[in-house]
Amino acid sequence: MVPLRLGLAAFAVYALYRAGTEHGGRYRSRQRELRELRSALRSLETEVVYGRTALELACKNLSGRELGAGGLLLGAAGRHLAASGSASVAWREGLREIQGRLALDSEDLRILASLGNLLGQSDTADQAAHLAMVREMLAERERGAAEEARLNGRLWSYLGALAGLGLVILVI
Amino acid sequence: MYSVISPSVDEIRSYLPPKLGTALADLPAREWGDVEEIRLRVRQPVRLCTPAGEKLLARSGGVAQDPRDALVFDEDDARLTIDLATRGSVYALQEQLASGYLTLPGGHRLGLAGRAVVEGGRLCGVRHISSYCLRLAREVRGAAGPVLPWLVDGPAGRVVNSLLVSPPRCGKTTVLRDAVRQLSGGVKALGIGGFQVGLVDERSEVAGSWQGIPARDVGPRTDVLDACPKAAGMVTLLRAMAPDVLATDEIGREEDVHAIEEAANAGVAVLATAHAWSLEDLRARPTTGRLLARGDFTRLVFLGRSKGPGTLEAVLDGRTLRAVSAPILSGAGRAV
Repeated sequence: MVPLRLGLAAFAVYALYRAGTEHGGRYRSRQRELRELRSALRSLETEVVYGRTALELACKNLSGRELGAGGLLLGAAGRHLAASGSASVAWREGLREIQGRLALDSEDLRILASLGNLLGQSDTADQAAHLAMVREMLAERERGAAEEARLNGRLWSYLGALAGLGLVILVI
Repeated sequence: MYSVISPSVDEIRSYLPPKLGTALADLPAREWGDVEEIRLRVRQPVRLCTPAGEKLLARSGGVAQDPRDALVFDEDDARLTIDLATRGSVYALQEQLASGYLTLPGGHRLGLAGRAVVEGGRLCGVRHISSYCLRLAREVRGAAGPVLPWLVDGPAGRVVNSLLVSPPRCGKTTVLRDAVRQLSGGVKALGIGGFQVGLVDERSEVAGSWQGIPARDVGPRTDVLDACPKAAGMVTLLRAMAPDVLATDEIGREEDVHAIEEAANAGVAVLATAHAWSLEDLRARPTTGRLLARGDFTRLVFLGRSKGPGTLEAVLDGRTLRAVSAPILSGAGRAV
């Protein structure tokens, strides 16, 4: 019986440690996703300002080239643009489609959503300014996310392991 | 014998906000078939221009008898309209927007007005658009039927330099498109087997090209140079495509005169249109006045609306400026 109890206790500690690590990992994911989104918006700016590529084609081209969240968002927006013909509708629906798969918080999503009413709606100089502003806001959020990931990522791993130990003690 | 090919509501509604598209889709087919223009102004009722006059689009679809029942175009609609018309790519159409209109697939023209963007005294675009005028392109097969015999020198088997003249909204472009189609395809009744036609379509209104491919039927022997300034386009087609006939819409600039002169020197017939209310008006305009004075056009064909758009009102000899009594045909109305 003792080896079985020890095995179950070890399993409980490991499982809760993993759960804590997993939860802490969301902070790192958010930081990475913000970086990917900034990169995607920079590429989009190049297509819009220098290439004057139609938005639908730019989204389609970049969705295959950009990694992670950026590619995901541009791919979804491009598909919705092809269906609706409206950039504002496409951006809103694209964001709605992918937000459940991302670790972004509501403020990150709000910043991205704010681009919807502006994207594609003006001349290249204006578009460059809007895209740069959103990238800068995301960069600020990324710096905060990095700090949160550093503080909270390890904390949640420890909390998980401690919760596992606590559970074992309680059961014993 | 005319056959009118009007755009479908579905073709047009994709460029308009959903509430407008729905109201247009609810219009009776006959009402829709008469619509020539849709005029949209922020905080104003949606107006439909028809040959019978202006009508207001009702919120519930159909025509509003009472202005209070009319569908009002608002700020959100204005923003969404340019978004839909450019498919979210205003920046990609900056140059075209600077000219105050967009050509949509199918050759429909969306005129716009709002806050002008001016750089160095030059109009670079329009922001905060508050008014739109959507002119629907229609293909009227046979529209050039009454005009065509006057454009052809039967015995010589060639087209003569001809200018189609009318005030705005009298069907010049529609007649030109059909003339190009028929000259390109050949007309048995006139004994013409089909000419190589070069069409310079600066505003994409004649052929309605989208990404270089004509959406309207402009005939099997027509080469279209789309979205190109007329004068440069005429010279290019002249050199590159060796046309028998050069066609273009709405001449009026100084450089057009030189291009027409070059075409005449190359022995290529020019078929063009020009805005004017009368012969006097045509002569008073600097460019067309010069062309007339030099006798560059053999035929001046005046169109009007007395029996609907595109009605042939008068044909003048371009050199004597006197009415021509009959086309240059041989035999029983059949050109050689």
